[in-house]
Amino acid sequence: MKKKLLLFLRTLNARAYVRIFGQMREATWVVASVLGGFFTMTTYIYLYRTLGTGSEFSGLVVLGGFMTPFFLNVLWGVATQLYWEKEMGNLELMLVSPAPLSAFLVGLSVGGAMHTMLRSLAVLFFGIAVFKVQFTLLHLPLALLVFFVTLFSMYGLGIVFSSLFLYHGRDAWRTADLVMEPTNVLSGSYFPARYLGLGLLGIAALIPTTLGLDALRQLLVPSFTVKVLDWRWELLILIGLGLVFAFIASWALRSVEYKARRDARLTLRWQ
Amino acid sequence: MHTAIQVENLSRVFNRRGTAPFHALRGVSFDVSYGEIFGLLGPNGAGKTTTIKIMSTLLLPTSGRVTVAGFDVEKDYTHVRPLISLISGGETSGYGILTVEEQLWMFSQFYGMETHVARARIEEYLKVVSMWDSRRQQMNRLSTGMRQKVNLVRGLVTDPKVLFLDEPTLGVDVEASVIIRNIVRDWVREKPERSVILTTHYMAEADELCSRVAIINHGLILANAAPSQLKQDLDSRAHYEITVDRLDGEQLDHITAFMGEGNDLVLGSDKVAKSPMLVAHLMHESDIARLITALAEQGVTLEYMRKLEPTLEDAFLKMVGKRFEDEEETSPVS
Repeated sequence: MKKKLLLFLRTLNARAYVRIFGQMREATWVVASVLGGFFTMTTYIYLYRTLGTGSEFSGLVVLGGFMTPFFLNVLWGVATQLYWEKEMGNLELMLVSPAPLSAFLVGLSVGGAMHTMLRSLAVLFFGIAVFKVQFTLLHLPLALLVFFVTLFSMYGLGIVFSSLFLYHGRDAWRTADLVMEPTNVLSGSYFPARYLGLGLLGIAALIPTTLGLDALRQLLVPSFTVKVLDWRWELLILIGLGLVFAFIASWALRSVEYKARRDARLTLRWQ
Repeated sequence: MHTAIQVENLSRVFNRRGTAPFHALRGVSFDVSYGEIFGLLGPNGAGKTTTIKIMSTLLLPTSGRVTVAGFDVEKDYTHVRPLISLISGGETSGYGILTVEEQLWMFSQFYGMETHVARARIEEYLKVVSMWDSRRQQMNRLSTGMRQKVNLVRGLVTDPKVLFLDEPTLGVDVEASVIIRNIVRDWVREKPERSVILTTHYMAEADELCSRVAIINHGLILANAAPSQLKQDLDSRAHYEITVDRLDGEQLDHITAFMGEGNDLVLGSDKVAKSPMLVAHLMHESDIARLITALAEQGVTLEYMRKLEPTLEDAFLKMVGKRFEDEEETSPVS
């Protein structure tokens, strides 16, 4: 048991290392992603200012800009990762090793989240510095709790998707592309999710960013009133979602690995 | 327990939409002992890589059974994986943004190795492949040969019991190939519980390294023996090339009659020296002494003589009916 745990942790650490330190070497990519996030945020802030909405809208946009890179990381850095690993020839080596697939995925989730944190904090910093957006820090510990539970839930969902994307091969790219924009809209990254209406909210609530962002806005933006649910309920739902995703992910990874070994999908590239 | 790998009646069928099922393996059986380098030779699509994928737990067999170190690769794959390593030729695995040292450390962690043990082995093997000075170089800046040396080190650092080498010198220059072959040979000799399964396109490589080779084609094992045995089975006669100062047809007839039935002598000319050259196919090795005596009796002086040895490629060609270079078939497992 101890040996298995050590193997899991060492694999996690090694895979996270690539994400954290390796990607730091791609300086232009880091700068471009920070600037991209910043300009999207800027567009929405100017739009809200033009429309004459309250200052809380700038705050919710900055929080959206802070959370969006995490969502993108989950989609492109976790959900599609096993597929990319297969294309690069790494998946075979990962599977031949004694480490469980879940350790690789948790590792790249942890590494991805830490790496993304720097970019997200940069976007947050620029948002506060350039647009003079104000947040209340009265509930900072609770906001941090909500934030980490949201990440847990988001990355859990990413791991579920990764096993599906692995099995469906090259469709992964198109599916991720297809999922990206609707999910961006449904999670209310740059507007209050309550405006989606009850029907769409039912679906949107399955995306952890939706409720996570809404709860963060309640805790950090003082004049934010258009909430979906009370943040306490949202936190409970996020914990529940995270646990369900973790369970499904664990089952799906085992199941997909077996099916992939049976159907030769681990060794065939471009499939 | 002397058997590192046991393959029994192994079959694998690939079902692809819209096409007939492809039978990659049709009842393949062989075993590999500890301390052995075992070669799998065959044209593309013959079933070599499919066999390796099944042995290394990446693919399930359709029927049959494979055990590695006594563990069933289908049911006990979690016990098999800590004991094996897989290295493929032309491999671009890992991450280009990592340095050589980081990449090797990362893979060692997937086997749960302690960092200080891993670092010591990485240093040892990088020095063996003369790449210690390149340890801080990023992977995406390495040449093909250097990358393949790193791949070899990656496979050895975890100290596996069974090493699967799938075309390990593919696209690698002569110098790097020699280094890789020497390391593989020394690595197996170092500990008796180690063994290597090698697939290669280079017959000389298989001949040099393998204690036994299996020739596989269309999913069937055509032969399984030591390279020397396969060559011997090809033709039991002894063959010589003899360059002489002079030899005419009449003299040749006398010598042929003297040598007797079953011994064939063909007269040609040496392309370099422009002297007459006799190619002799003799029933027995010892007949060469009689042939030299016969030549001397005819007043012929020997200028140069060499024994012609059949190669593994000749044996392969005879069994498969074509050389590696002639291949066009492709396997669904790449």
